[in-house]
Amino acid sequence: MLPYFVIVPVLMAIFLFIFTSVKSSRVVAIFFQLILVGFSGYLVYLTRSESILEFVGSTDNFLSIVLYAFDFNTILIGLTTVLFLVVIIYNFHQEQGKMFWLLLFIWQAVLLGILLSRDMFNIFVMMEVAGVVVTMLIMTKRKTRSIYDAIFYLLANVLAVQFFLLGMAYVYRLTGTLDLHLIAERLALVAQEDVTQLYLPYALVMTPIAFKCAMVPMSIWVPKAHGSPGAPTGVSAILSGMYIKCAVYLFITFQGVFAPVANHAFFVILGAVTAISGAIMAMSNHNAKAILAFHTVSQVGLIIFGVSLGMGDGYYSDYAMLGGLYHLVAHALFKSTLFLTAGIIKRSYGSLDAYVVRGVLKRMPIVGTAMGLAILGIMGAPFFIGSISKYYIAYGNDRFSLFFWLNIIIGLATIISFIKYGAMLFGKDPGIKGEHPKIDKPRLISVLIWSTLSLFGGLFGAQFINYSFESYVYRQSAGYGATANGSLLTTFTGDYMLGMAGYYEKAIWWILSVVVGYLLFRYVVKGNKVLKKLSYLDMGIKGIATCILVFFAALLISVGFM
Amino acid sequence: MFGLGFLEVFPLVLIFVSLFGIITTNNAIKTIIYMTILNAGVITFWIILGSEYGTTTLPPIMVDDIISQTNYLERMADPLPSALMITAIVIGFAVTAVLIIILISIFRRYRSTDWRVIVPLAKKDYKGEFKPFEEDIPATPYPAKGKGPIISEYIKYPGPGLKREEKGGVK
Repeated sequence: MLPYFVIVPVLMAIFLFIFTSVKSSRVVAIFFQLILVGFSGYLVYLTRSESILEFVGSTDNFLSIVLYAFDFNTILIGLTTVLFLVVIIYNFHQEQGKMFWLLLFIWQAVLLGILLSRDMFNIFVMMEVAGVVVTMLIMTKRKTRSIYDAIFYLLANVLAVQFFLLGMAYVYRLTGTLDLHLIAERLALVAQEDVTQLYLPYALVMTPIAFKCAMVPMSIWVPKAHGSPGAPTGVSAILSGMYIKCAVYLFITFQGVFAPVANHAFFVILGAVTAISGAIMAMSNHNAKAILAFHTVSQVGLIIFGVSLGMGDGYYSDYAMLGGLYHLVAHALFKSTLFLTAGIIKRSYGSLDAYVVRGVLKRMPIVGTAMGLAILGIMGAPFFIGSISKYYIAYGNDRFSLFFWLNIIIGLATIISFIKYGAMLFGKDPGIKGEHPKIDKPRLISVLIWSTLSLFGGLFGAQFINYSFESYVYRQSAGYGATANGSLLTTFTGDYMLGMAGYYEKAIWWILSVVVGYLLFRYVVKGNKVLKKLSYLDMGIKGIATCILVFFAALLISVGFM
Repeated sequence: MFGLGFLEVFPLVLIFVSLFGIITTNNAIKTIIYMTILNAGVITFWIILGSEYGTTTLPPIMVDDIISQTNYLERMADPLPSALMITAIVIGFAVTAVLIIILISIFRRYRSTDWRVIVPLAKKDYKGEFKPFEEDIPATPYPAKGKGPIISEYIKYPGPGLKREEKGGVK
């Protein structure tokens, strides 16, 4: 069953490429996508009890390509297929041309391939193909600035992925295999002999993955790729919603594979720095797409922060891990909603300037409501989706420890950057009109589906976490590749529904943060000249290459010393 | 150092040279060339991995000539790196092609292949202050009707296009 998750999207891509001009071909595409969504749901159900392993090409572990579905990656697979369904509906009427549909579906195949594959070389190939596909999707409008964004993204991406290839060579030299489970087993044996042998491959493999996770100082590619003005809205939504999550998935996987040398403290600190710096950059911009893109950097930093806290040995915290994983899902929901609504605003107003667009709620009530829900979710308002994940990350640590305060600061920075964004909902309509002032129905439907999901994710968050991540987090604490599938951890049960006392405390913190955030926004951030200078930061390809090398050196040194 | 063999130093030299080039060059074409050198270095490293017996390594083929040699099984090269690197080479080729296509688009829009010119113009473009050039460069490298080959057009706009400002193109 697993290979079909990669093959079917490719066949759909070819089908749509041939029949793009026939409008009913898109109905067929939606139909097939619905089947794919159904099967991924079935996969989620199956993997609750046991994981699925399939060998493609041979029955041997060494020679075949291994596809592996387990309780964590099937959740992401389900999310990917649903998000693509939403984007297909969103683009139903849009005449994007043949290439758009071809690339979109190949991209889906590649993403599902990254998530399913347990073979290191396969992951490399998928990463490269995804890089090229994303580049071509970004530069759909070739006569805009998007071409610069495209070449910047592709060059930096290719450079980073070469590190991965080199690191893979070292791993192959040490272990003689490319299957991730075997690598994990053998690296543990190698580490028993001489742990220093693992430093270089670890740094080489983690650098490109950290690049894809947009860690500081390499995060400058994100606003270019995700916030490129010429890129189609659906593409931006998938980039921020799912593509960067695949990198986080790889991050978690490889931290597990390199468990003997994995440096969690380094990524905890860097995650927090990334989260805060991303939010500051988001404050400095006033283009809605750029704000959202920088905000992705910030939120992915928060996810890495939570996940690394969860995986570290000294301060092991299952709650932080659960919070990080749930925030991964939550961010996919609300950020995609925000990108899709931004696309509708752009068509209706003809502008995306957060200081110009006003009165969205009045002009487009449904779109405005969806956007408002997503903003409340991203701010972590009580009873919304972001609050639960942030609660778990914050309270996974000792109360009032350094990490707790870091979490409060990150939340505050998020709130400040979204006060400006939320102002677009209210106020007096400026009366400007874009090319398509009328909203077409497919767009409305897609936004509604996605924002409803994010609302339900908040209301039933605890149950969702219980269903999707509990067994995985339990196995994580047992080590990478532990086969104790289905053994749900009983110690958590009962603790999952947030106690009302904890919730009141969380609500008080949130209201305090909003008040402080508004005051800071009003008197410090608004019209700040230093921030204004930050708004367009471009270091060029030489700068990003230097950043990648600096990151690599820093990681190598930190692994050696810590 | 890091348990490296004698042969493995050469691809690493290639890799370091190309990284140095990427960090220092201002020419976009050279950046792409350095990128291919980097790719070649990594691929060479992989290939050398498979043949730890140096020049006495045997190809992994079961024919009489090879089977008759002493220790032929041990001395055979590992075929897996070669098989994988074929794929990596193909991907590298495709990526380079895409990079060059984008660079042509960049040249059409900003009329330069110098990062020092492209980056500020892209910044202007971002702010909406950039005016695209009116005259268009022909699309094909072949002679258009009644015109000379396009290659001379490209030479007219030399790499370090810093003097463009004097010509009045960039403001």
